[in-house]
Amino acid sequence: MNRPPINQSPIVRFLGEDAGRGGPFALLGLPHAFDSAEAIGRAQSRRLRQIECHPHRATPDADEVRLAVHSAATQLQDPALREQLAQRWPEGTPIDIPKAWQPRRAMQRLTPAFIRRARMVVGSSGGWNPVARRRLAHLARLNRVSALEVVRAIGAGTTTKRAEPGSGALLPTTMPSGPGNGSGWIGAYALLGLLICALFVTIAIDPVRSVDDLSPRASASPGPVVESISDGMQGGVLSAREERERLTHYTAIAHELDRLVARAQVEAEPSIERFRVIYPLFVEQWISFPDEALQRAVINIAEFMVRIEQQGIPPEDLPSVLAVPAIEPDRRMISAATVDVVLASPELSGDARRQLRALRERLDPAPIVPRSRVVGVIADIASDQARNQEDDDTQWWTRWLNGTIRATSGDDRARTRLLIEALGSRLSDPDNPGRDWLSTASLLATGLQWRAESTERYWLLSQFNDPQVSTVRIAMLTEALVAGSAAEGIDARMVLARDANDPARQVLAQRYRDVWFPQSGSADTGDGSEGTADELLRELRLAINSVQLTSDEIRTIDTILDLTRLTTAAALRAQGHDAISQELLLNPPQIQSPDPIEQFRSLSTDTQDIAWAQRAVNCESAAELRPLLDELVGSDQIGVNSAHALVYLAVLRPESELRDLASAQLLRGRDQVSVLIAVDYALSQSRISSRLDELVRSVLETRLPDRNDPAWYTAARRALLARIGHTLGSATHPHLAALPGALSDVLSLRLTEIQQSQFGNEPTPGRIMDIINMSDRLVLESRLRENPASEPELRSLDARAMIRSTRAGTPMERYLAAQYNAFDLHAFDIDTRLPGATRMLAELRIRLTQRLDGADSILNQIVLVERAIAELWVLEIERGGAR
Amino acid sequence: MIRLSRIKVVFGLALLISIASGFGQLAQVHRDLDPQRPMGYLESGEVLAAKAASDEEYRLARQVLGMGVVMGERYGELNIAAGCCIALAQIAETESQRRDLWDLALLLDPSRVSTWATHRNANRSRISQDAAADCLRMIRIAEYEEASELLRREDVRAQIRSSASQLGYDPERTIASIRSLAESRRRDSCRGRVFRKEVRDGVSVKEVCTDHSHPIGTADTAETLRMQLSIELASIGGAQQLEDWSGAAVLSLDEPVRTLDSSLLASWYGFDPSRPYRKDGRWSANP
Repeated sequence: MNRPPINQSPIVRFLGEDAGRGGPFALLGLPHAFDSAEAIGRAQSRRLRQIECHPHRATPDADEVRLAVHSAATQLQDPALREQLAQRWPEGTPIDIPKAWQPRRAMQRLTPAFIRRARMVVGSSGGWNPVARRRLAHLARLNRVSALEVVRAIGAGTTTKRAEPGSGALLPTTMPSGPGNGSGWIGAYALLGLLICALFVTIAIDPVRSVDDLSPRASASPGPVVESISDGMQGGVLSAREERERLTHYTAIAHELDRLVARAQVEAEPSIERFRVIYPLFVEQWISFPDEALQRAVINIAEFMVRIEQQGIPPEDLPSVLAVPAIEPDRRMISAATVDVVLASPELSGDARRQLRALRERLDPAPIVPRSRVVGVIADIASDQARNQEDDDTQWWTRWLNGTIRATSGDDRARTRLLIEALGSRLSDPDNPGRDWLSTASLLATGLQWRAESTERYWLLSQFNDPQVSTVRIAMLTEALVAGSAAEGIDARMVLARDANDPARQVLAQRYRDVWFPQSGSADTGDGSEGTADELLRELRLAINSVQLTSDEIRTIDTILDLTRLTTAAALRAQGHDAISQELLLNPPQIQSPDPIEQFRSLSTDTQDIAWAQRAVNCESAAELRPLLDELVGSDQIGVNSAHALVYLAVLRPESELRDLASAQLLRGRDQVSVLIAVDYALSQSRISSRLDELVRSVLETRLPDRNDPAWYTAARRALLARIGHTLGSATHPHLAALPGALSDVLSLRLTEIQQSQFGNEPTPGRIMDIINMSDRLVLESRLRENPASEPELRSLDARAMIRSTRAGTPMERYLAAQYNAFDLHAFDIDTRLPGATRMLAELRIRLTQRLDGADSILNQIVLVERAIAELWVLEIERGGAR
Repeated sequence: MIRLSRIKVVFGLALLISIASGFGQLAQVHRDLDPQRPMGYLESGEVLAAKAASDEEYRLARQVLGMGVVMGERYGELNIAAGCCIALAQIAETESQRRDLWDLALLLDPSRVSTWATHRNANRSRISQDAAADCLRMIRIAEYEEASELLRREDVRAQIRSSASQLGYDPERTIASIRSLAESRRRDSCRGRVFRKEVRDGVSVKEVCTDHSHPIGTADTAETLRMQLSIELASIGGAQQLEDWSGAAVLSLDEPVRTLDSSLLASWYGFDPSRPYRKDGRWSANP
């Protein structure tokens, strides 16, 4: 028996040598000049019949050839296109056959002996079952062919007809040709027939799943057995289901999209009909497209939409062309991203754009950002989906992960970012998780590398500190990590108990820190600047990820000081002061503060205070007052009525000795709020006497206008109120009172000697930051002098800085403003020096703004800005940017 | 009679013409509102603001201008957005809003720095600030009558509201609380003095007046005193002098700093940026 050589193209195999000679004319067996359009239809039917008569008519190859016949017929229907095709393929010229139709080398290994062996494997495994699939996959791997091809090959010799319901039988219509006529073969064929029936029954029950198990790419593949063509063929018109089963390879879909773009200009309506068949296939199979093909396909779709609009298709009809029922996240990703790419086409009319925007909003709620690079758009949509998905449905997340992995192939950093976003989003769901979370957490965690110094390790540490993160969820994540991830150094002791309290979370966080960052906390003193940089980077990352926004004031203050120490060390290193930088790393400053004292107690009504005040105010001489003052010295605080009495004596009594004694007592108690309130009360006198002026100056230790100046009263009141605030604050918040000094000590290390000389004894941290910013601004301006494009951004930076400083009323607000200005300057500086950092910086800015809006105190806002500054330093050190 | 009727007819016609012209202008305003042309919002908003007489008319003018800021920003016409902010600042309801609007204008269009520097603090009234601080102090020292007198002034109340808002207190509740303190009529016979004179055994002696509910210069509770002192300090501009962080914290001057952006306008003036068209006297999503 003559068998066709297996390396022939499918067209040649099914239709003969002539059909494979070149272009649609040869394919249909038509001369270049034919008499009527009916001739095309006749030729098409002829070719289709020819395929139907072929023993392999039920194979995917046959489907591809049928598709080629249909495409060729459609092309030749158009006279203009026909003319072009005739020029392109003069009679006798070889055609460029689509890659999908060309025989592959691997196919050459599918010898009859191999196929027989494969069938025996199925038979000996007891039919088409998981064992058979596993054994077949093994056989395929050994012979370097794909499992799918093996499955196709063993099903290729048989065409079955789906039985009528209730018949309970599958009727083989054709038996494969045997190698000879020996009687032994009859038995073999009977056995094989039975095996193939079993194979069909198994696959017909769940064909996609069966094939899926063998190859991840074959989710939309028709499997080894397809429906009989006669069921779906009505006069050469193919149903959508049949089309779905025919276009099994991405190149076929890509090829169709290529052709549709060309057709759209000449026959809009038919091409739309065809597009409606092809586009859902594309949405279904986009994950199997390589990057370049995916981009080309989406650009083709965009061009197709532009062209059909130009052909007069009403804008309101356009959305229906791109509308696909997409519920699954991966399909939503591609369908929404495709609309975004279409929207980036400048030729699209305003009406069409509006209609497509409405469609896009229905497809996916992610923000619409028209762009031509589809992979980037998909990644953004995936990110939005991850952040907004409200449950742990593992199936949903599996499809999301498939889409995400496809969208970020070749960009590990982007993939890590998306997976961390997904995990982060689910970790902060306050609802109690079910078992789904465990499998979803495991799925997402295994997608990450968890290598040493990787972002995910730092990220996990930050989750232990985040109060928004549910303990049960992070506990289950640790279970998933220990059980299934590739993370090194973790064992069963690293699993958090699901009912763990906050200290237990911190203990486990410390354990992870010890295992993953064993050297943290000790700077390498022996190595050079490279060692310092590494240690600095590690400390910065740990500090960034250990930030916990809390209402615990002392902890917040310590975090501010620690972050400032590290950012200052980084800045010093960048300035070339490695030794001071290292010194700062080795000796972190600490705040020692006394216990708080309750100052408001001295302001309440107290009988002892009233009694003392009455005796004092009625004293006629210094001798009478002295014993009373001795009593007062014995007590810690002066009561408010006693303070009033002393002020009365110091200001209104004529006896100078009495006045002096009372004044001295008031000066002794000038750090007590009762004394300040009593002095403030004295200001209500109609005339400011020289004694009152002197008392106020000495108590406040400040300069005031002349007492006859109308501004004296306001200046004195302002200073008194500020002093009352200071007194109350330093007594009740001693740790916070010490913070500005500690910050100034650290920040002033960055100042030059000349800059330091500009300050008095106690420069405020806000003022120091302002000076540093001014200096950085000058350096930046001189560096960018040659680049006039940066001028508007610099002007905008200045405006923002000015507004922040103007709006800042309190000392903490002034520091926050100066800090934020420093962040802005540094971010802009990095943006101009480090190529490719723009997107990360934009994300950092957005994140910072969102976090600042959510912060519940200004101290927490200071922490957040300092953390953002630390992140800038990490970026700078990682990228090795030189200032 | 005939003359009177003619006058009535003429008057009636004039009234009709003016009403028709008003409707015509309003219709023109509505036609000009197209999100892709933010200038229309600025022009219409300015016309509406200039003609506004009632609260409702001012509200509409503010909404149109506010929408202009949002649309200008959305469609990249930042100078128009800044122009709308400045127009809004002219009809701002409070001093703090006026300053916010000027700041927003500069954020949107940094080239307006000199105008901003000239106008941002132009309306700041030292007198109102001092009076507001004095009002609170009068309550502390039990000078309730003087405090009530000051509290009747609109500028004093506006300043207290502004300072309270800056400190994170609810402005209206703060005014109500201060009013109740000032009008509590817990007056003592010595009218705010710490000591009063009494004659004991024929000798005149000073005694601490115990009619006060709290010692003079303080308040009933630590919380009330903290609020009064912080609003006094903010009103008088003393916060700028306070270099001490803990002092700021104890006087509630540690409120988180809110981000200034155009999204604030929608909540201030009650409009929805997704409904940028005017149709039948309402904001609509479609033209």
